[in-house]
This record gives sequence, structure tokens and C-alpha cells, in this order.
Amino acid sequence: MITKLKRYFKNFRDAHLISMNERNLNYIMRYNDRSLYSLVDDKTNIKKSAPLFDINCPKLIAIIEYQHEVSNFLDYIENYNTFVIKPSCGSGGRGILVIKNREGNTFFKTDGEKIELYEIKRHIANTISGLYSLGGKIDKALIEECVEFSDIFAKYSYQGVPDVRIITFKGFPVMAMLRAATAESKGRANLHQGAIGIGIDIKTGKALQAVQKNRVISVHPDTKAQLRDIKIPMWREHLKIATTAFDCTKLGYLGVDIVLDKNHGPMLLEVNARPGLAIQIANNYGLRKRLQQIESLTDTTVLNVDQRINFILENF
Amino acid sequence: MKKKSARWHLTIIIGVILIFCALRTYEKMRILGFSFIPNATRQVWIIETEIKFTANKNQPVNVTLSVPKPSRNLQIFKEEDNSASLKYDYKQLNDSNLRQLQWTKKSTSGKQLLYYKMYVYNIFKGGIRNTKDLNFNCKKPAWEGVKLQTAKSIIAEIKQKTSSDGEFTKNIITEFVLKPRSNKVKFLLPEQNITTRVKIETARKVLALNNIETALVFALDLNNENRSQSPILYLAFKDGNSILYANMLDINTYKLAENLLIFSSNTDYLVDITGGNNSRTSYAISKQDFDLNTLLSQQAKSQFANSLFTFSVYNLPISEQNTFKKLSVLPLAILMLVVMRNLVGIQGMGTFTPILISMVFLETKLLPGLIIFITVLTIGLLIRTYFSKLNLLLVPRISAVVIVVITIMQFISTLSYKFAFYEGLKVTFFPLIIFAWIIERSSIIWEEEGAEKTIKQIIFCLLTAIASYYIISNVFISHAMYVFNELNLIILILIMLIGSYSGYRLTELYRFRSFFKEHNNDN
Repeated sequence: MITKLKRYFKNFRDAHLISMNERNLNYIMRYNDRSLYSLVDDKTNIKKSAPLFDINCPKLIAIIEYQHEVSNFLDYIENYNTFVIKPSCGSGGRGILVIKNREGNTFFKTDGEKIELYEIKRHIANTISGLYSLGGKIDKALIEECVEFSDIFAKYSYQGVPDVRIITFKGFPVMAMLRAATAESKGRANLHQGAIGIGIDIKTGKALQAVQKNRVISVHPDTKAQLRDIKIPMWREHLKIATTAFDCTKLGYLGVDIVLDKNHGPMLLEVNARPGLAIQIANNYGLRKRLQQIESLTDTTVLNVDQRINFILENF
Repeated sequence: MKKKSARWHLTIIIGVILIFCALRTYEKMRILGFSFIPNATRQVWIIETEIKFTANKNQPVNVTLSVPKPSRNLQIFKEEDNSASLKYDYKQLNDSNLRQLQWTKKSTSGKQLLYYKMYVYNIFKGGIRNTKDLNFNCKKPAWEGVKLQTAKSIIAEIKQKTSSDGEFTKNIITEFVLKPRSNKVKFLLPEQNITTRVKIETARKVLALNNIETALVFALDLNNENRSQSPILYLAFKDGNSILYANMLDINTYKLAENLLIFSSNTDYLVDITGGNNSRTSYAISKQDFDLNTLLSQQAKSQFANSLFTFSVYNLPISEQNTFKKLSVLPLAILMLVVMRNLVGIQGMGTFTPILISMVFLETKLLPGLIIFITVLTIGLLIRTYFSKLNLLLVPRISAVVIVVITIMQFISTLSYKFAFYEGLKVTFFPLIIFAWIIERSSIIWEEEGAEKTIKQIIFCLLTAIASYYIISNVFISHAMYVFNELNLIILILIMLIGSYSGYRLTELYRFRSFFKEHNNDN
């Protein structure tokens, strides 16, 4: 009994899981300068600075900052049939409105539901007033082009866009997972809401295992697709975005969300200064060993993006 | 700060705090007499002294009374005297080893009755033990001729029988005080009015002739509750390195009885009256139990405590003391909260909300408080669910919730009053904003993460509040944390240590439970 318990605890220790306390104390507090948070929390900042680092982002159609600009909405989207409206300071996927189709001034959401112009305008007005922002602060509404996600992901996600989350530490991509929406998560890609987390081998982009709410699964509960067959195309480009995001934000411990567009390849969706720990469960492996491996490197600042990617490809 | 230097700082801070706490606790227990027990009492002896005398006509009067001096095991709670009503000037004379009270009046006549009451106690457990400042002296008598010869022959006679000064003294005391039978002894004593006191004085003179120092000791038996008593007399003398006390009533034991209050005097009398005669002094003792906190508050105010350069919560006015009584138990509840969040890993509804709720439970009592809380929360959440459909902005939305909460509280109060369920009136103890905040937070969690998570969080919040309630309502804990307030610093240390703890939380062991089972050697 006791030897069995001991073995269990040994397995647990050997997994090198980092805890919430350790993440906060040893990584976020030490490597993420508090003054840089505002850069990340407002999505317009990263949208503006990413192109300077040759990072692809979904194209921004307009930023609506003031209520009087809401009436110009139709002018902004004149040439678009499909677009996304999101709050600049939103969290947890709240307040994101995806328009998939349009017939004149009648619009259609992802699930085919009709939405009238006045409803969209009210949604924008609410967004600006801070209905979806953290702490109810005054916000901006971003209108951007809708990502046409790659066909290979279609069967792995229910409604929403599946995205790749990569943890970047001191500019090195250390762990990755693919997040796929389910009916249970209501099309959102947040794991605690019931989305699927698929651990991705950081070196190859191949699926390791998939978990939903802490349970290991092999098929998507809604689409019934085999989850372990996934191999993410253009993986090195994914790693490149995740790695460059560090140079762009200067945050040492970073969660980078990337989405794969059919036409434009991988694009940076957003970055997170406090990425969660669920990625460890999806990968069935802890972050600590890799983080410490990188911490032990001296003078990482001289390495460029490709050198850093090569380092992890060789050493992990 | 770098990791190493931060650790180093922390270690030093912890060390300094621990040493300080240990010293301060020691001081409070051993020097100031604070107790960990909330309703501790101490016995207080009320010593009443009555001095009667007849004043000489139109002469100034001066009465001096020697009383015990406060010491480690003897404190004075209060003193009362009737000098004011008799228009005497009253003064306390304190010097290093003597405490005297002095009553003076320029002119008076007739019978006088002075009275003085002293409340004494020992702040530490056990009876009063006060210091004995013995006034040893060796006053040679002014005897001449036959008297001197007689005294010398008695000395010679007894010296023959005894081998040491101690034995010699014992014999002299027996001969003179206890059974003055021999003619030689009778010759030295006066012819009439032979009181014990006179016998003792004569014995001391004889001893002085032989160069033996003696001291008179006055003591009151604290167990004797007779109305009118005189001090017991002891004659102290040296026997080698030790001091023996001859009890003038019981010669068999040469030591002080238990439970005595000893009076010291620089003369051989406790009362000294000039300008009066026919004096008679009597003492009465009664006992009473006093609350230790009352005694400590009094002690903090008294001169005695200030002279020791001590200060503590007991120096504060009572109303401030009561405020701090409520506040000083909070750190422990906060520690519990920190443990819950950073070691256990459960949290509910804002950082300090559970503690605020538990403070309300203190007023309402647990069960009524819980019922009221759950009722208001349920109704509030139902109405808030409707609000969320209206897409209101943050500030108006919370404001609306606040108004709804006020209405619910009014409704509960009036309804419970009408049905004579008076516990329901206690709803007013709940701070409005707490309700509004919890309702707002719950409904956001409800929308984002579902009902299960919301209910879980509310339950965690309530469990933490209940645990916190049991901590802050415990009289032992609140007394100890209040009186020994340096314990808060130890809690501070613990919280700082938890603040630098980077290990797993208990709930994370559950969250990562899948890692217990499988072997993953492949990575």
C-alpha cells in the first residue's frame, strides 16, 4: 500500500508539474514586468506592434472607440461579408461576435442565426461602454477580418475557431496545445468551460493526447473526429510567431494564441501574460524541467528567433 | 529583489520577530501577569486600618502609618481613606524600602477616627508574598547599677547553657516573653502594665547588651477575617546565615507562618502619632474575587506599572480596548483564509468577503445569519439573472442590484417582524455592499462558467466564513490574541512564509490527479 503510494507520488514528482503558486512566484512575478501588462491586456496594442516584427495578425478593419463612430459602422464594413467584432480588453471570449454572412443589412452569425443591424450597433455600443471588459472599464470595439480557418481543423472543432496555445519562456517556445471548441464549451476555446485541450509535441506539431475536463479522450465528442491524428501544418511558422511574440511584448512568461488561416497561414490572435496550467494536463507533462533548462542558459539575448527555435528542437 | 536576497531578508525578519515575540510574551506572563485564560480572577484582600486617638487641644496633629510597599507579588488595586471628610491633609511618603501615609491637621481636639482601606492582590497565581525589609537594630539600654548587673548575670547564666548566638537568643526570648518566671527577669520588667510588647522590648534590650541585633516584624494573617485584629508580632534574629522569626504567641516554630502580609517600619511601631494620645489601631481583613482584566487595566494606570516602563493594550481607554478586542482576532481569520487560498486552493467571492460575512455572523449568530444570507442571495440572484438579459452596463447594473438588495432586506425585516420571527430583523447587520458584490460576482461566474461552479464557490465562501466565525467568536482565541497581541506578528510571519511557498495546493493534487497513476518515462 505504502510502496504503491510512494510510487504514485514519485510519478507525480517526475512529471515536473508547476503549481499555480510556483507559476506566480517563480515565473510571472519574476519574468513579467507589471508595467508591460497593459500592453497585453489591450488587444489593439499587440495588433499595432505585431506587424513591426513581421507577425501576421487577422487584418484590422476598424477600431471603434467613441459612441458617435458607431453610426459609421456600415461604412467600415462596406466591403465585407464576414467579420468579427471583439472587445479590445475582453476576457474569456466574452463579447466576441462573429458574422459569417450578410444579406444587405441583415447579418448571420456562425450558427446561422439572424442578427439585425441595430442589434450589432447595440452590441458595439455596449462593448465601448465596457460591458465585456475586465472591471467594466471603458473599452474599444475591434472589427477585424474573420479568420478562415484551415480545412484540416474543421472536423476538430464545434463552431468556434480552434487555436494553438504556445507557452513562450524567455523567448523560447516550451509547450504547446491545440484548443478545440465543443458544444459543451458553447463554441468557446476555454478549457475550463469544456473545450478540448490537445497536447502538441513542441518539436513536431503532432498531437500527443487530448483531454476534456481532465479526462483523456480520443475522439471529439461532437464531431467524432480522431484527435490523435492531428498534425499541425506549418509548425515552424507557429513556433516563429510564438518566439517573436517575446521580442514584441518583452514578457518573459507568455501564452501565445495562434490561429491557422487557410490563406494567410498562422496568425497571432492574442497574447496572455498569465497563461493557465491546463496545458500541462493536455501534454501529460509538466513545464518545470523545460523552464529550468532555459533558465540555466546564460545570455539568451544574443540568440535570434531561429537560433532559439533550433535550441528547443535540439534539446527538448 | 533577487530570490536569494529576498530569502535572506525574510529569514532575518522572521528571526527578529520571533525573538521579540518570545521576549514580549515572557514579559507579559512573568512580569506583567497577563493570563491566557479569558475570565481569570484573582483574590483581592481588603485591608482596613482604623486609628483611634484623642487629639490634644489646639495642637497640630501628625499621624504616620506604615503600610506594605507594592512588590512583584503584591500589587495595590486601590486605596481609600477618610481624610477628606475629616479635613486632614493626606500625603503618601514613599522611599526605596518604606511606604508611609501621613495625615496632618493644624489644630483639632477630641476623639479622632482615621480610616484607611487598601485593596491588595497578587497578579500572579498564588497568595500574596511581599518583601520583608527588616530593620535590624541593637539599641543598648540605659541601665545602670543593679539593673545592669542583673541583666549581665542573666546573660552569663544563659550563655553557660547555650553554645551559639541563635540558641542564646531563643533562650532569652523564652525567659522574657513566654514565661517570665525567674526573679531576675521580673526585676528587669516594669512593675505594672506588663504587655507582650513591654516584654519584647526588655528582651531586646538584654540581647542588645550582648550585641545581638533584632528586628520587629508586624504581620497580618490574611486568612483571619476577624473584624478587629492587631498585627502578629515576630522578633527576627540571626542564627548563623539564616534569619529566624520568633512568633510571640507560638514559640515552637522559628519561622513566619504562611499567607502573611508583612508590614515594614523604620521605627518599632506601625503608627506614630504626635499631638494625640490614647491611640488604638486595629485591622480588619476581607476577601473578594476580582476580574483579572479589571486589575490589569488598573495596574496599567497606576504609578507602579509606569515606573517599570511598561505599556500594553491595558493602558488604552476601555472603548478603544473593545475595538481592538474585535480587531486583534482578525489576523488569525485572515491566516485561515490565506491557507485556504494558497495551500488548500479554494476561494470564494473576493478576497476578504468570507471574513466580512463571518463578522456579520458574530452579530446575528450563525444559524439565523446563514438563513438570512442564503435567502437574500437566492432572491437577489434570481432578480440579477433577469437584469443580465437587459444588457445593462456595469455601474448601473451593480447599482440596480444594490437597490434590489435594500428592498429584499426591508422585505425580510418587515415580514419577519410581522410574524414575530425577530431573528429576521438581524438582516440589517449585513453590509449592503457585500450582498451586492456577491450577487454580482456569482451571476458573472454563472454566465461564464455555469451554475455548478457558482454554487461551489458560494459554498466555499460560506464554509470559509463559518470557519472564520468559529475562530473570531472563540473567547479563548480572542482573549489570547488581544492580550498577547505580539502573536499577530507570528501570524504575519506565517503569512509571509505562505507568500513564498511555491509548492502544490491541495486542490491541485486533485486537478493533476491523472499524473499519479501513469508512468511517463517517454518524455
